[in-house]
Amino acid sequence: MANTKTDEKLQKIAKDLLESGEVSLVIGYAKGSNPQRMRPLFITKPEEADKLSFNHHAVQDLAVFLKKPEVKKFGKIGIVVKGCDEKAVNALIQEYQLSRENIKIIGVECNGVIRQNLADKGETGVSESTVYDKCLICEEHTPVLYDFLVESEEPKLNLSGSVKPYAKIEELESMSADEKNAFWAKEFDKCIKCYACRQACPLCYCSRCIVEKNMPQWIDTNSEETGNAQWNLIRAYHLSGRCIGCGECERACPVNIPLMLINEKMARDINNMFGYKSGLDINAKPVFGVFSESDFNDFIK
Amino acid sequence: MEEKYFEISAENLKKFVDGIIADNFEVIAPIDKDGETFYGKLGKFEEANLDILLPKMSYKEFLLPKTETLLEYSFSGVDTEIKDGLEAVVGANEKRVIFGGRPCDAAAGPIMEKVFNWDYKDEFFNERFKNLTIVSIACEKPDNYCFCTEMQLSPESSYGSDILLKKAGDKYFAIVTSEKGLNLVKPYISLFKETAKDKVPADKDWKKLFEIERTKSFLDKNFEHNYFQDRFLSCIGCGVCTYTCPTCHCFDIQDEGNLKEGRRIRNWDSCQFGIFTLHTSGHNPRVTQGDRYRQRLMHKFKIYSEKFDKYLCVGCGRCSRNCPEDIDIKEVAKDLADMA
Repeated sequence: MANTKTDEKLQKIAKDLLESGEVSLVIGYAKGSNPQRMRPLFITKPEEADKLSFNHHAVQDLAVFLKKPEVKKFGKIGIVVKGCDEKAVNALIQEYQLSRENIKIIGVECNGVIRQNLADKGETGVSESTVYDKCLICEEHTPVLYDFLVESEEPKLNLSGSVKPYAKIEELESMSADEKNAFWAKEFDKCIKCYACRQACPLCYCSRCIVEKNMPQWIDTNSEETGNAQWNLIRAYHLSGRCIGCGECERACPVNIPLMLINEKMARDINNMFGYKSGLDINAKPVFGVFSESDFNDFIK
Repeated sequence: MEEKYFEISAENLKKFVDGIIADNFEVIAPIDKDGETFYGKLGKFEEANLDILLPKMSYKEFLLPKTETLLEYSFSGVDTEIKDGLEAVVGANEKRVIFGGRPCDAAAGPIMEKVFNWDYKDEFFNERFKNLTIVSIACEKPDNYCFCTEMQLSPESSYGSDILLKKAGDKYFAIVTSEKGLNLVKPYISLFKETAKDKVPADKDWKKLFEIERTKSFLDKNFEHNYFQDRFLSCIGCGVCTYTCPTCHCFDIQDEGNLKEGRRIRNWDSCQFGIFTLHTSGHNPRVTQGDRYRQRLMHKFKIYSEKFDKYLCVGCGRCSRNCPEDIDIKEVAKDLADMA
């Protein structure tokens, strides 16, 4: 497949960054294991830049690699990010996990990525019925922060309104507590405690996760009702106000638990309660890291 | 037992499966759920999706559960009572049948049986394995992730299956390989027509893309090779490969409870987790993800075959299909073979 203009621009940026020594590593996308897949690519030499590519199959959030010690040791890093992924980079900077000077943000304009399970069955068309829900509500088709921007050649998503993203959230909101409990008990019953959700998340970077502490074992590691609820709830809580909605947790989950329903609901609640959206401003203080005297306190009875 | 060969029409196969369900057999088969296919309990034949290649997860949970209780204890203040978890397993699920799995999944059983009977006989595994009847369906169209052929099996292998069904137009040939399989068929023998081996279509000539022996040969001599550190920078250690794999069997034993009562349980674990080999001293012999992924390759394509004469991989390709970062183990195994 011939290089697109997007690919050529990306390759030039990466090549220049590596040649000049401004970065020692560029993380981007390359062709994957089938024509409808892309995969992460790590390049350290300018001549490797011609393997870089980007299209609507680039589903991975490459910001997840920024927490790996094996990647951190490269020091200055260039990273190719879609708008959603870029918010993860911002959140990492906000939380002092990453220095702004050590990262060259190569932003790509994205008009939607095709759901990988559809892509694997041969889907190549970008439309409101083939892309992830996150794409339908995305307000960062152009990343909010970047050092370089690669424009997209693909048309903007046509939203007719016939597909309602995260429609299940409204349904759940109208349920009673018992009904909600029953819904989630059924979903969490599928959980096999593989922690892929945690590993796939760019913001789950704790060097020792709460589930790995065993004196005492705060969170049960078994794959049973209590342990499953404990794990999924604690992860939801630890991400509240921080999750930027890349959806990698849900995509990585081998048993298809609809984790984005929780994350999106939390993000909406946080926005309603505190007027805060994660990952948009590297200078903003994390919402649960600070308090203001004007914060509401009507929950104190 | 010598193999027995039968023919059965598609319609009679349906009657057979619905029949054993009515006879209170617990039939586990590929079932669609929310746009994906998983092994689940079949209510009736029609619910099974026999068109897809493979369900997303293997059925190893029926041999090695995600969580199982090894023992329970209660302390009265004077005496401790122990209840052996094995009691719940012996004789249970004798009427469990896995129907519609593929030859790769079936091969996992006898391959894992070797390590579970090596230096210690794992009665939990053995009881479950003994009670399971496997009825597999041969593959007609593997995909680009499949590599059972390279793993010295084949899309039409009966290894590990009590009955292997091979589709031929609107009927199936049934190759019954065991007494267990024959016992399942006997009450419905009128639906089956006995036939001779030479009537069963010969296996197709499946081509190999690489020799697994060459992969092993590279692994034998290249422990420190940079390939492992570079190639697996993209691995996030999510463990989905190990959890969806039919032959991965690492487990973690946990104690839960208090002074009065509790239990010891065994959970699935993964060599891909960062703390899998973390010592109490703080030292971790497998400290990078490259070290950990190398270990997976070593275990599957070298160590197990040296101990048990079988590779610890059936080539089902789930690890590749399910990897969030698109690491294709068939590609990796071929890379190693090419470098050998």
